[in-house]
Amino acid sequence: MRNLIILITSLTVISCAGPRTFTKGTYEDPETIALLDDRFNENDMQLIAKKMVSSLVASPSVENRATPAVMVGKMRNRTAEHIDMNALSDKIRTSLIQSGRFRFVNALNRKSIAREYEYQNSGYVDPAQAHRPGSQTAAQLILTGTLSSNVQEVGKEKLVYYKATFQLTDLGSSEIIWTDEKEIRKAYKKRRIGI
Amino acid sequence: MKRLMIAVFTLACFTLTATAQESGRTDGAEGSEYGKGGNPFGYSAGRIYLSGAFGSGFFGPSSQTQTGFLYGVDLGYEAYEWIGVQASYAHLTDRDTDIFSLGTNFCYEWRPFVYNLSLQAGVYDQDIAGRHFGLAPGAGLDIVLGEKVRLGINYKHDFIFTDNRTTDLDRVYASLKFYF
Repeated sequence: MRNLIILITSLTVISCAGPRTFTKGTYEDPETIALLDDRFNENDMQLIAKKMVSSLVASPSVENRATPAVMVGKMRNRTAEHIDMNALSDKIRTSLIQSGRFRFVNALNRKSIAREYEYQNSGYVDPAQAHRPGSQTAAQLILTGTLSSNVQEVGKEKLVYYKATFQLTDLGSSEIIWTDEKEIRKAYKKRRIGI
Repeated sequence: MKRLMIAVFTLACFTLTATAQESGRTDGAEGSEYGKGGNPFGYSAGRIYLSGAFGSGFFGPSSQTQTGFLYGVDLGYEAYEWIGVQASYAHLTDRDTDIFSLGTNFCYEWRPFVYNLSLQAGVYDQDIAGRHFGLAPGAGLDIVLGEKVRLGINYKHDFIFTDNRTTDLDRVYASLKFYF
């Protein structure tokens, strides 16, 4: 019996020794829902983007305009979390461009584009091929959005609520021609993850 | 006793169905994500296991005894990775002892090892001494062979309460556990 106890104790000590690290992994389908923790995750982003894209494409007020030029405006994160709003707007923009219903002007890289104009007209580039200021497409609409959250936590229960509101504004009339929101509520229970 | 075992197994099956959670996807129809989630990469809560055991058992030093061959079967339900309930049957050839017990299991997983502590209460049906109630605290170490198979070594100390005294029984056995 003593030998057995010594064996079990030895195995316990041996197995507890050494740090643990992430060394085993697999590629996963990014659209599979995985809630490992209570923060904003890629699934929330996908759900928001899917809702906004389907709503925009089906919107009657946009249908009247033939492939309008849109610029992405301010995306506000009003939650307490650090959330990459650019990733969210990029995902929406990608799907909208791929739908063929919208064109987007690149507002984020305006400075780079202006510098490139200067370079192309500095004499280094064939003048016949050089692009000049004055030929850009004017944006007709601006896409803006806000993400806000609310957290309720009591004991082992936690409810996390997100509300994403996006809107499309006509740059000429400043009229909001489309808006929609996506509400997400996630319920969590605390679980022990160690000793 | 057989009816009790069947009732425990049925209850465990129903509990498993109730707690199972699908991962779900984000590319379905709107609202199809409701009720989906969990951690598909981690432990799947709510698992039933069946374990076969063999080893030996011997009554305490005050008893007239000889080491007997022990075999048995455990049916358990792990509600979470650290706690579960277990119904067990074991037969010890010495004194022709049948042990029917029910209790809780506490586990701590540190792969490839899983440490177990258990406390079970049950009926000890002995050929010569009749039926008595007893308690059996135990400890064990499982080695994870695969997602659904574990090989373990276990020790249990039984306190069998009889009319005038408490009889001790030590059980040491190996187990092979299959998860469903």
